[in-house]
Amino acid sequence: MSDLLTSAEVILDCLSDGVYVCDRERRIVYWGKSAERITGWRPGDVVDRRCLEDVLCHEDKDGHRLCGEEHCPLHRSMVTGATTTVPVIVFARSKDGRKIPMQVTAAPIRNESGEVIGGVETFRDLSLTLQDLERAKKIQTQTLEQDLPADPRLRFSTFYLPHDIVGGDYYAVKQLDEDRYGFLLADMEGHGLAAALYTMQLASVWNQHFQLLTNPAGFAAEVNKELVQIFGRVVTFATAVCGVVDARARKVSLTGAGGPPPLIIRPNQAFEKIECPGPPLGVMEDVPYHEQIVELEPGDSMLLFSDGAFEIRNARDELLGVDGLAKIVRRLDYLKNQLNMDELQEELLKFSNEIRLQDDITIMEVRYLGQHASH
Amino acid sequence: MEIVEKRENDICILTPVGRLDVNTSESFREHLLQVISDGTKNIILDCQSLDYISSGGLRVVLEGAKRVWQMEGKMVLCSLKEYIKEVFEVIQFDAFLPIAETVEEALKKF
Repeated sequence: MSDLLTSAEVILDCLSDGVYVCDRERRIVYWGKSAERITGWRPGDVVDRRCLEDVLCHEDKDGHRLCGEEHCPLHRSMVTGATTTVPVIVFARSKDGRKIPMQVTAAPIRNESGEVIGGVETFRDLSLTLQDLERAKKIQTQTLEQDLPADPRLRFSTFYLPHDIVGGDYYAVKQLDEDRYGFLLADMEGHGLAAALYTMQLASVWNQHFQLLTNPAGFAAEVNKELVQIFGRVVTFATAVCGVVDARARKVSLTGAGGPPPLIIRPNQAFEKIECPGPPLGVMEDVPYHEQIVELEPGDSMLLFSDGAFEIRNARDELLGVDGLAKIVRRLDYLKNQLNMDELQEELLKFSNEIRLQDDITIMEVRYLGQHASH
Repeated sequence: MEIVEKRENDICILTPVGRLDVNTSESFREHLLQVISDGTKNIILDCQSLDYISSGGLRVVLEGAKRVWQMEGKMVLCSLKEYIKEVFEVIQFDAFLPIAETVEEALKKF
């Protein structure tokens, strides 16, 4: 054997990725030089301590701690006996208290009889990549955070939580004339960076055409045509619901383009799904779009959302669904108060039994307060 | 992924077996696009043995459909299990992709 291959530890110490090894109780038995380089923790600081103790403090991007049982990639891999197939992005704490973004993979270590006796975790410093993504996030957030229209007869509110750092949902509201406001909530197929880039295209198509929303079906047809051109040979699409709310005529006109049916919630807590079927945007030109008209009474509220808000499965693999979402909203005593989006997110997480939700979530509320609130 | 292939005149009938998900959609994609680049522009996707379709699977179906449309061909789906049918209907793909109850009915759509 060549001299080069005499010591595995020497080789491990040359890697740029951090490496450490734990026993079955997640007690750290080996801490590589590169792990020290990335985190500042020296072997003497961490060896013999359990990795779930106050050492690395792995968190996900939303600040949820991962060091328990089910969400720890290393623990999972030792229990299932499987190597992580998709690297997990976590934030770890360095010795000087910085949060370092890292990409983690974990694999079980077996003895000769195949029994799992420990695990090895490797991690790669993602600080530079993350800086770039954070800038992208700022650009995207800026596109989404337009001032919502102020009209004493109506109230608009929005909630947006991307699954990754950037997301594939897009929403916008604009005043069209004295009484009418156009809105759109769209969801690019997929999530992550590619979907996020396409939302910038949605934003530009929106800015160009939102005035057409006095006729939502016509707006959808025009946006569809544009997106077919933009997507070209790339196979993707957007699902959406758009419409116009008229504060004087007390009605809302909706056009669906593959998006989930909006919910109308009445002051007596009754809710109604407004089915507005229509083909997704950007697949084929010259497909028909239709309009649904809903009359509004004072206190009525309309919720639009992306499918991430209800395509959530619980531990028994049951789907939450639009009805389930409506029940949660009702339970939160939503009509008395403004919908508390943090509470809603908490409820959705509780249902899913996961540490984070699996898709981008956007919710838009349009509430009709009544004419008396007018000037 | 096992894919049964049959021909009926100039129509190719593909029957994917099992789950069309992240693990299988690439092999299904290769098969489908190969059939198309071999010159077939009329395709029936017989879904009688399809147990599941993921959003990635949907994309592959759409990619195939877009290719045959470019050749002025057609893709028809048939024999969808209830769950799969819902997936297509919820996302309104049935606006582009005709859905038939049986292979015989699908053949009549060409």
